[in-house]
Amino acid sequence: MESAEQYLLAIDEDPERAAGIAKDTAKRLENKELILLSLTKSLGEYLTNDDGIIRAKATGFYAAVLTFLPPTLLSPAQVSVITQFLCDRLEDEAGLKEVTQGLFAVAGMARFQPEDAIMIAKSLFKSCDLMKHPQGTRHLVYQLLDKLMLERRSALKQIGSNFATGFVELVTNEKDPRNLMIVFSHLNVIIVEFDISDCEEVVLDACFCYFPITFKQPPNDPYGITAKDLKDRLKDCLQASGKFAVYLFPQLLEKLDSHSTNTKRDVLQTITACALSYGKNTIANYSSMLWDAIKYEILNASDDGLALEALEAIRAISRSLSSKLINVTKGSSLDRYLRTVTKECLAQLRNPTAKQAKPSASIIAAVSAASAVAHATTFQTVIPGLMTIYDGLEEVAKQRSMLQAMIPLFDATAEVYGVWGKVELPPSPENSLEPFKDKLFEIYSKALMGASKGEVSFRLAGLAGLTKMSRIRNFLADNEIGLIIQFFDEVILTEEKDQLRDFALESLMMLSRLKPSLIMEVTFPAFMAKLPDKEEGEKAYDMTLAALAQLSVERPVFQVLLTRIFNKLNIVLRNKSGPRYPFALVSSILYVLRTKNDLGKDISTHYERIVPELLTRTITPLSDGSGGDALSHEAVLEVTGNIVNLILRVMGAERQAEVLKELFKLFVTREPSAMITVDKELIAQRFNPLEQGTSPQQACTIIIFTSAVAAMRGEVPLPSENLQQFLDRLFVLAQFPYSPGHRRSLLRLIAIIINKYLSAPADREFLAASTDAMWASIKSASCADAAFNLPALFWIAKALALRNDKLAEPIVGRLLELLDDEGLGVTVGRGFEVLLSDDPLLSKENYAVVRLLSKQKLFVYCIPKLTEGFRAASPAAKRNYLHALSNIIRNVPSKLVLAEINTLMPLLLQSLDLPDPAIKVASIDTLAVTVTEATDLVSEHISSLITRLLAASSPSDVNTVRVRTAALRCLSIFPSALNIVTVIPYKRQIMRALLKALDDPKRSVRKEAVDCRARWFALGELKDDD
Amino acid sequence: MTDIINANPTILNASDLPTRQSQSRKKQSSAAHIADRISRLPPSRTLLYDPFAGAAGEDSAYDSGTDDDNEDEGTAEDIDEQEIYDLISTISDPEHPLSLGELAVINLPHIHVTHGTPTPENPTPMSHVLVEITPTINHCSLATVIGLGVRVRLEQALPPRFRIDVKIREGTHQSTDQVNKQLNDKERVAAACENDTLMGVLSNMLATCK
Repeated sequence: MESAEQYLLAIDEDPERAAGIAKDTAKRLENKELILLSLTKSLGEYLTNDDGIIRAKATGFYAAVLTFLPPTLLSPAQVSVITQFLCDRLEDEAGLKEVTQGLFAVAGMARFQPEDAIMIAKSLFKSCDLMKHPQGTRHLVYQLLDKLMLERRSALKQIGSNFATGFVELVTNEKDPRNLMIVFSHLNVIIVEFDISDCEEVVLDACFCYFPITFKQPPNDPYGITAKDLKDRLKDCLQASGKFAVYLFPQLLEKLDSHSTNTKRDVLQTITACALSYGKNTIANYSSMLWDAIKYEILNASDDGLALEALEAIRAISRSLSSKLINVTKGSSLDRYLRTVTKECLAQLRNPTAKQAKPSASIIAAVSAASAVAHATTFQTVIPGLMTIYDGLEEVAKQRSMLQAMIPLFDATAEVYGVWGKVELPPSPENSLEPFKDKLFEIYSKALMGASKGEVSFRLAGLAGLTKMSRIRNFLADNEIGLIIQFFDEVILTEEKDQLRDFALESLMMLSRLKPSLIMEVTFPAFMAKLPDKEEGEKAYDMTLAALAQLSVERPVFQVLLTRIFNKLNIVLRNKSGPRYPFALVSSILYVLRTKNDLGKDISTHYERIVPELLTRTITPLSDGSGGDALSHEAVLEVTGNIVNLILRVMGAERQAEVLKELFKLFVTREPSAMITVDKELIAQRFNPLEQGTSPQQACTIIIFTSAVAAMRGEVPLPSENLQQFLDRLFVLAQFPYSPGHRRSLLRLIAIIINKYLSAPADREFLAASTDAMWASIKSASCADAAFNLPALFWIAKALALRNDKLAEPIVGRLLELLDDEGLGVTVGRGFEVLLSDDPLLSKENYAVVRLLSKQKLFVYCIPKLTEGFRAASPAAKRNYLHALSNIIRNVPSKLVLAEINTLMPLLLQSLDLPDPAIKVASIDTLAVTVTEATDLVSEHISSLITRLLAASSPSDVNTVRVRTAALRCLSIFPSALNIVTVIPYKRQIMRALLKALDDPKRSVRKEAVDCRARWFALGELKDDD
Repeated sequence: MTDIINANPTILNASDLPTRQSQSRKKQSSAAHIADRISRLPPSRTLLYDPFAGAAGEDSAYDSGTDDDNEDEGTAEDIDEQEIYDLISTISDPEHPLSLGELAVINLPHIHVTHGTPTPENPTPMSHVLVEITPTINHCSLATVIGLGVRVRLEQALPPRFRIDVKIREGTHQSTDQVNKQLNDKERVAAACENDTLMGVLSNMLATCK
């Protein structure tokens, strides 16, 4: 059997074998066992067969053999003959795919000649009716053309404009996005490099017929072609030749009248691209026509996004016309264009409160930002015009609108001439806003400082104008900016309106980056002088401190701030202040440190300056027998602790170890410590916070110690010889705390030490024994007060559970048992908050051992026991279970709750009947998530849910504002989250019931009721048809 | 509505529209928010809160806890003109992407709320709200639609004890009487609400209500 016949038989059954046959044949040709002619001849009968499929297969065999031939085997003549042969086969529609494969192989031959390429292109154009074939075949043809375009472009160019027309005809009606991606890139090359002189319109039409692209990427699209890809390629074609302008612009503008936002956007983006690439002379001919059409999109904009695109287009034209111009040139195309634009815009600005005034000003800004020449040309006419209009305005409202309208002009100027602080700008040309500087400075200053206090938006306009002007590079002098900063200072220090103050502060922050020295010279002294010397109520200092803190992020400024704050603290404490003002002063340091840390700056460098200083100031007054001063108030201790924690946390292990040693000396072993800067020996004698019999104030400083220990990296060892003994000491102290805060920091300290340091087998035995002992004491306790070890158990369990320690579960199991206990159940229920909440100190950021899924594990352990216990519990104890549950779900991700929601739903519903606002809010919040995430389950319970939520929305002692708000908010999710069939039966009931909530005594609740009712009202009403 | 009746109306600045002076500054201002964070002592509830200690004692040195979460439950807040304004000023104009407040169609001074005096027999007496709207131009044919929108919004959002009157402000429209008659005729309003096209326009206007 001949190989051709074998191939034809095999190709359908076993393509691999068929390929093998072709490969063999190729080998035989290579070894001269077979000659090309006889191969062609052997195919003869098949190639003339009546059945198209057989003809195609035969060609396929031929193509396959060619593919396997070494590229250097055939002589130029042979290549030509084969090309000719295959090109002739193109007339047979049946085998296009196979012929193309063959041609692809031939085109890869070493001796493939330019003439052959020309022959292929011409034959394709002549014989191929491409659109009759499936997408895959067409794709092959495009790939063949792609290869020729890439490797034989100069040959193809010889075909002349026939190539362009031929190609256009070939691809007409192509619709597949994958193919279009190739077609567009071919068209682009043709437009740029080929001769299209007598067929421009045809080529353009071939591109433009796809405009606008309406393709939507199908879901799970395997080819990954987006509408944007197609749009970009098409845009590249359209912008490729300025000769298109004459045909393209009228058609584009016609499409601009479309109602579709997408079409409009595409048109505007295409115009922008063309304006930038067609060249000045072309654009000059169309600028006024384009302007006339595009301006409507800005002046009557209904869509801000479109207006921005239109502004871009207007600006691109200005930019294009600016090219090669250095000076303002009367009569230039730019001059003519800008003259038209500015004339119309100025006319609109005559009435600055009208709707089209603001867009007009944006247009002026856009055209002037295009280049320095455009800027100069525009501003020379516009600014004097605007000044004349402004002088004629009498109403404040109009003046205000005018000042606001002009602000984009300053932005445009900053864009052309740059802002302060950037170094690498070339020397800028004369700023054409310069001549109007004094006048502008005057009217904006007057607006800010001269207007009456009530004219907020007028003054805001003044403020915004001054801000924008002060950032333009080399525009205002330093003393003028200094004056502006003084204005802003005054606004911040005296202004009652938050909006103005916020803006002024933002401006100062901007200037503190561009002109830091001016802020230090002008603002700091003014603000510092404003801080009172003793506590006078927070109004006297809060804004000033907040402003200072926000301005002090830069290092030198912060140094100044620290000095000033510490000095102020001295004075304030000497004046026997309460805790508020010192709290605020210390907090402002914390605020700056946090901000700096968030910005990625190294704050550990501030250690020397801050940590020993604060500790000495806090502890020294406690050691002279008096009760200490405001710095040892718990709230201030917390802030100090946070500062210490934040600074220590970012230190390396070595430095941490050094610091920790000194801290232990101070707090634990009572040795002279480097933490104390004055009288260390005296302090060592008198300061004993961790000993029984110490003063309550000294004991509370443990808050700082705990925060510091929390910051240690796991590899930093605690400088204590026997940790177990140290813990025992803490256990005892925690049994009889001086205050809740004192207990919390002791327990936290215990938890931190256990979590990070006690994981050796011996240590875990110690822990098991300790908790067993605690448990025994709790079991024998008669009331909550006697069960003084209960809190410790919760914290120990927390520390262990975080690192997925097996010891945790038995402890938690015991605690769960206690929920049935009459005396302790309530406390235990509340305690679950400790167990699962995120602790600020026992956290990953503080290097605590927090294993993946630890919360999940605990949750999964607790929930079945809770639900089981709940079912068996007495009515009184049920409440404790619900309380525990509420504390648990409040503190775990809602995803976890949803996984168990089937079990939990009955409990959640019952908890809505409890007279406890906190539980109710937690349950409703959980339900709110459930409504969107577990629709089936909610649909099942919908009736009882709606009844309970409606009940929770009417005011009572239990249904606090928060409960009512949560209930209404939850109800308002139903209509959009659930199937309409499920919810619509309740519409009437709810619409009626909500009438009551509309009359709620509290305004915020009424607001929720209105929104909720509107959502239910819309349910089932006719929808918009868009 | 292809022809725009008033293409270039006067608009107010959003920051000039009347708003309720919020007692809590936090919501409005970032500077004030930071100032609060820095200078306000944490409320005693958070500092002294201890799940194991039962009810925490109040420490006079702490703030007594006047933050947002702890809104005073007791005092009732009556529905007032500003609240009505907030309900309707965010309705969109049918021909501009602007709100009725920004177009000064709705103005705070032109809203009047009167409450009846509660008596033991009738603890919730009827209240009355009158809204006068100002069309942007005096031949505005959309005045009726706007009025209807205001009316529908108020009917949905106010408790049933309110009587609602929506009128065109005297002297701001050439056919004030006619429009007023339409707006306050119950049957005509009901008939209008059956008209699908009209309701479509209305629901677009009301979609922006905040």
